[in-house]
Amino acid sequence: MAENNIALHYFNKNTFQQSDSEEYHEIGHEALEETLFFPKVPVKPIKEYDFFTVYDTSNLKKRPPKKKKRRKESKSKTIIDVIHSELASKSILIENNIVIIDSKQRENYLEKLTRIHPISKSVGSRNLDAENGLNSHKIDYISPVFPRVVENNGSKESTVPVQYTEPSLFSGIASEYLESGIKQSPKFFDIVLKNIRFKHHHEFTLEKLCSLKLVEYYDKYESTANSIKELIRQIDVNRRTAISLKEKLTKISPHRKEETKYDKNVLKYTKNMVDLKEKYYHSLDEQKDNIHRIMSLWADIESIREKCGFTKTDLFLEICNKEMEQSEYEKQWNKVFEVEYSDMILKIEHDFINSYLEYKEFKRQRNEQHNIIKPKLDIDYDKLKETVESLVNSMVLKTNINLLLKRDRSLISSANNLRKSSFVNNYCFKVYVDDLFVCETDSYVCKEDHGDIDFIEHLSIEILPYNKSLSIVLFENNEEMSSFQIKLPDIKKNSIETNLMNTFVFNKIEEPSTRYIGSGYDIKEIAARNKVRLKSSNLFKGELMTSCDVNIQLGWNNKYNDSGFESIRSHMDTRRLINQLLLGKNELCLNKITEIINNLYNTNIEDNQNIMIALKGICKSRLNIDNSFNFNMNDGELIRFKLLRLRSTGGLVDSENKSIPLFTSQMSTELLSCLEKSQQKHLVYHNIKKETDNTIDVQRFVGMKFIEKLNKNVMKTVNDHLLKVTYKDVVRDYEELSLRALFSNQINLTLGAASSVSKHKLIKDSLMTEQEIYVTAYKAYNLTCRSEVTIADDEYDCDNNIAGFKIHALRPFVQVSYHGISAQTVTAIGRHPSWNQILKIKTRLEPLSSLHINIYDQCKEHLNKTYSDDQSQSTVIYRKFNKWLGTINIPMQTVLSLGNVRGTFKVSLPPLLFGYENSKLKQGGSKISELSRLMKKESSFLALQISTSISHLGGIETYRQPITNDSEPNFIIRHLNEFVTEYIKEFPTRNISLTFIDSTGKNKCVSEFLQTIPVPGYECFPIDPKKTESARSKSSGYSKSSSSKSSRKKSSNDDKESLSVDTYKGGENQLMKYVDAVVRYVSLIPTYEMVEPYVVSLMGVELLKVLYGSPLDHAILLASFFLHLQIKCWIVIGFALPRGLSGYVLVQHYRNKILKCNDEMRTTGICGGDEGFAWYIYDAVAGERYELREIGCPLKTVSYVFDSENIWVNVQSAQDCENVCLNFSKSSEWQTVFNKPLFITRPISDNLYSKPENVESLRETLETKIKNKIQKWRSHVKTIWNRYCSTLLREMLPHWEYWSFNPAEIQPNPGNRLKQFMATYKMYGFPLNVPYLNSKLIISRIKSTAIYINDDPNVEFGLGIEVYGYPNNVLSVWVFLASITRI
Amino acid sequence: MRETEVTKFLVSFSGHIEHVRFPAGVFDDQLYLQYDIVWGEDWSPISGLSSGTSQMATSGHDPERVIFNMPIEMVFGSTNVFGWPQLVVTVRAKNSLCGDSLRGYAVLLLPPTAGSQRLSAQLVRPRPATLLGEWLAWLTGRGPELADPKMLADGKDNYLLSTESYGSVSLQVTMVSKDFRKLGYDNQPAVWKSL
Repeated sequence: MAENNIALHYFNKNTFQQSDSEEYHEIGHEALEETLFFPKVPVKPIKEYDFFTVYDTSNLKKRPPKKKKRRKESKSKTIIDVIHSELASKSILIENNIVIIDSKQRENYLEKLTRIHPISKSVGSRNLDAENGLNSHKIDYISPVFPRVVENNGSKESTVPVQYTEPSLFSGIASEYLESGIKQSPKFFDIVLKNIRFKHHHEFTLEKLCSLKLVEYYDKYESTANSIKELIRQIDVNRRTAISLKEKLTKISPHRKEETKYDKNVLKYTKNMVDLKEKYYHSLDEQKDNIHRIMSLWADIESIREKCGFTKTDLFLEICNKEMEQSEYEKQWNKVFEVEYSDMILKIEHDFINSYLEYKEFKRQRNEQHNIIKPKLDIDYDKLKETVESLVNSMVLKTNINLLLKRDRSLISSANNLRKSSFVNNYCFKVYVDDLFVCETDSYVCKEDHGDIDFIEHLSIEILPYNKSLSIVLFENNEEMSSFQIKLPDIKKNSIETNLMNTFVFNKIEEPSTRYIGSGYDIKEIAARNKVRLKSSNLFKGELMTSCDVNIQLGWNNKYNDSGFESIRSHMDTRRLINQLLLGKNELCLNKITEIINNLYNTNIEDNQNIMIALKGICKSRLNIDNSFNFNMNDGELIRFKLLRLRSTGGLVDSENKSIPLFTSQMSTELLSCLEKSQQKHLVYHNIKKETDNTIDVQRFVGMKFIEKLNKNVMKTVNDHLLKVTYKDVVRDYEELSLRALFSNQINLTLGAASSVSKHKLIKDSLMTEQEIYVTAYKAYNLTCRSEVTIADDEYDCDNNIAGFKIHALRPFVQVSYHGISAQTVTAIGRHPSWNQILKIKTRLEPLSSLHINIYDQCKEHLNKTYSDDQSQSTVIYRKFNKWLGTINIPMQTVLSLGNVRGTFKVSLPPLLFGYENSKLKQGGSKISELSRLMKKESSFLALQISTSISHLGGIETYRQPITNDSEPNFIIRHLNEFVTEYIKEFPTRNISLTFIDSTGKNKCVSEFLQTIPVPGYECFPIDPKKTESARSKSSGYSKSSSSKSSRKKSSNDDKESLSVDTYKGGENQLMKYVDAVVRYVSLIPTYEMVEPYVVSLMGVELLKVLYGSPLDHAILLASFFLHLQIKCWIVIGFALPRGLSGYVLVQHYRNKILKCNDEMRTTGICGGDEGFAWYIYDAVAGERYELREIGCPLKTVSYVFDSENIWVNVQSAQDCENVCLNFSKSSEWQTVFNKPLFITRPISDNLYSKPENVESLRETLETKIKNKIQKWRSHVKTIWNRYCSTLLREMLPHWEYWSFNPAEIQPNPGNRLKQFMATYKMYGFPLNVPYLNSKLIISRIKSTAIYINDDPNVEFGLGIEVYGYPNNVLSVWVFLASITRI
Repeated sequence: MRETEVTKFLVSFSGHIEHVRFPAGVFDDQLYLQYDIVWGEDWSPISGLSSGTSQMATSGHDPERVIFNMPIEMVFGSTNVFGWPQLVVTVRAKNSLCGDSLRGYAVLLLPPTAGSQRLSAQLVRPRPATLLGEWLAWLTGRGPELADPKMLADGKDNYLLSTESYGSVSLQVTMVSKDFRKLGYDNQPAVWKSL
């Protein structure tokens, strides 16, 4: 340590001249011998490992003085000085790298001191220097460039056990590895070496050799003795069983004594016995041999011992000869003889039976007699006796020799101690893989007196794929003695350990001497050397080589893979597996357990049947326990889990409160119903089947569900597409940034507002919660007013007179209801009342349905009048009741999508209201009369504004471009997309989509939906009942009870010739009739309201099959029919009230004549203007026709028009119906999408229509259902049904049905009988006509009319119901309800 | 279910948003922050404000830090720990130069263990999608903003964002719970367990 310090000291002063101190000289000599660091000869690179491993702590302490010196010097330092110093330092290196080997330094090396410690210290001092401005001195001190960095490191490579290989390029190594396929993980081979046991050793004495042999034979002797005992026992057992079996069999069937011999079991035991007997004789012989050998060996040993005069082995053989007395001997002899004799007879018998059975078998196989001799049992008793006697003689001996080998240490003569001749040998094994030394075992010492070494050595050797063999070589005293080679490819992969005893035979030949037996020589030679004659020399065969037995276990090791880390991990895995099994987390699995056990014990238990059975047992029992772990189906917890799962999968979307309480009792019914709904999805169909046996009901239901499912799928795909959140939805960024916009100063420097997706989401969310609907009822126009009679009844109503003026009797009010919650306005007066009142309904909007707006007339009735004529009575008792005037349904979807709906809605009125009439009173030149003139038609209107509390979210942009399901959209879709993009650039506020979604969920061009569909034959439609009545009067056999349908059918047959399609096509009038019929037919197909913005559009044919479609589907079907009738028609898409974006069928009239396809050219040719033209639209759902310019027209704007060939998109500045120009040929106003016709409409030839089913049963069930319902609603009073009235009402219905098909005819009036009836009764009632979907809808319609609310105790009801069936089960249901009170 | 049986645990969070720290100094005239607490479906707020807006504040002695001391207090009841309440803080600045602009968002999970804790979270703000937008944002001092900051607590749509981080918010919250143990939850801090 001290020296080193001094060295540093000198070095830093750059005074290498002073280095000739004694110490340096001493060690310098050593250093010079290895000229490693001589700069010109870089034999070895600088050893980095030394740099990192060796560290000298001693130089730290003396640093301060060193620094001082350096500082002094540095003042005069120049570059040359530095170079000098460097040069100097280089030359001095030789000396600096000298190792002063002393114990202390070694300790330092071994000490685990980190390098960071001194570095941080030096850094600290440097910082101090920096503060003092003295840091410049340090620079050359820690310069790693110069080899001085190793100045403190001695060249101690001898102490560092590191092996270095030749340097080579990495790529070279890599390619080498690749070539050899080393990429596979190396495998490990386990070798377990155990216990060397010498059988022969050249250094053994003859005595030792003999004694080893003796021990060997003695072991044999003992085992044979044991086996003989066992054999005797087994023979006995078998013999006894056979005999007892025989006895038992004879007992059972004494007659067939002979046959017992042939019994299978007896035979089996006898055979066993005979076989064992054979073995027994054999081992007896062997035992005799053994005894003889041992005796001879022992005699040899004794002679050797005698010869040498001392004993070296501790063996002692005790021989006891047991002589038997003659009598005893005879007794035993006889006993054995008896046994043997009987056994012999048994054996002979057994042989005979065997041969007999064989013979029999042979005979059976071949029927003809061959020369097979039938075996015969004949026993030559004398001969038998002789053989048995000789056998017993050999078995029972007079002298019995028992041997007992003992070890007795004291036997070893003390002379042995005097002569220290005992040899000591070291043994070790070395393992070579492909002649490459791999490893060696410890060396084991073997002392002379022990012929064996006890040890266990485990070796694991990495085997590379190309390795071929592995050899284990035994070394004795570092001399190779013998080897054992394993061919690696022979040991298959994962072959389980081979446990083998290998005999190593030494290939060393040594001459025997008196003391040693040597090896490689004959026993005779050895004996000759020892001058002994050996009796047992025949036991040693051939040349005796030194040999030993070693237990070797071989096997592939699966646990060690690339590194020890892997094996540790596998152990950890195993432990984890076990833990999991213990804790019951994992199911017990046979494979897993066996794997674990195999891993742990390094065995292969799969072969062990017992263990496997036991394991299987364990697994089985555990599985049973697992079964009991299942959820209890009635458990409340299960319901909670189910709900949680439902929620996480998004099943609870429609419920507001999504929290799931812990206990079932706390769960809301809403949650539970959600759960039920999710579970019972598939049961609905069966339910409806159970409920009704009517095929029509089932058909409607299936159609409904089908459409619902289609729509659901469409919504799902559209939502997936649209609600995919994009960057724009998440981040509010500057909108539409482009350089052009920036320069043209058009840029919008405000952040974009929330996008449509987030709006959509907001709406979805807010639908869950309660929202308010605001309905502002402004005004109604042209309501029906009370008829004269009714007014006359209310004459006494003093309210009618205000300040002497008689005011109108009507007291209408508006009731708005949504989801059963309703609100109503106050009553107003007159036919054109104004309310200006806002109604508020607070409810959950989900699920969306229609807002029902009903207008009622509030009637007052004086009760006083009926009871007394005294008008002066102070109290006036009224009865108020409401009479339904009309209804409007507004789909909530429209309101939500527009945000705010404001407009005049047409009130749908019943065709007839008893007690009310459309007044034809002349009114003064007021505005209203002008209005009514404008409206032209007798219809009522209601001005309304509807908004919701989420109106601000309205006006969502619908998607414009169709989603392309295919990766490659067809060119039409692409063309449409391009067109729409262009269009939207021009009209950014307009919003069109030129495709509909068809029933397969794909987008199709709108024009493709139109195709010619043949109309049902006119004979299917009802004919004038007046005519039939006349016809009926002719046919006397007409019975009243038969359904009207049958009569109609009958009559239709009569007129068949006159009413064929062709005739209707011919005349203009007939054509109009046909058009009306078709419109009516389409309107009778049930409609659903659009709840979602995107629904499936059905082709006309599909709608005819499904009978359940959206308004648009109806329009498509109607247009298809029109096409068949060769009427020029279009479908116009635009905004309408109250349906929002919808489609109507547009037709053109010229001078009150409908334009046909072939007319078109002519008309446009004649006049370019609009003169004489009238545009009509057909509402396919309501079955009504409007003039486009009319006020009451539901269509408000036109965005585009299409027919089966082309699409015309509105490019006018005006979109509203009043101003839009409908001359499609003007390209400035209408842009065509396609330049040439693309779509080929295939005519439909197959039979589209089926005959309607019998609807009588449906009518009856409907009647009973409605009656029951009305009675139920009037639970507090008795409901009286007036049968006469009912029949009268029903009689009227065919007229109404006919009229509705032919609206051009005069409206039917009540018949004479009904008029008579009305004279005596005060009557209020109306016929309702609805397409049939299900009875529930009809009942709810009836309920909304509130006709059943009548407190009059004398009120009676009349109900006439008629159902008309048309092709494809399109049904028209008429419900004629009237309440009557006797006047 | 018996009357005495506990079906909900209660958790109360009280504390305050202490300060916002911008390591390079605050250059805005005034900063203010808004917070929203977002919770899961099984949770129901019992009392407290689930969202709020702080006062305008400027940095004081320390130019890097703006102290708000905006109090937060919420009590929740829940049956399930899923959807543990999270706090979304939006830091905004009012500047005479560019008006109201965003400084960053931070999301913090309210502490699940009882006791008082000091939490801090880095502020994050979305980056403009285009280079032009970036330039414009630099010019106007107004970067893009999130349509709904609560989406950060969900994390479902975070893949759409590209954000940068600057500054941090720190707050001190005390959590007190009731009936946690009775419902089988163990929320003791690790330190206590080792004792």
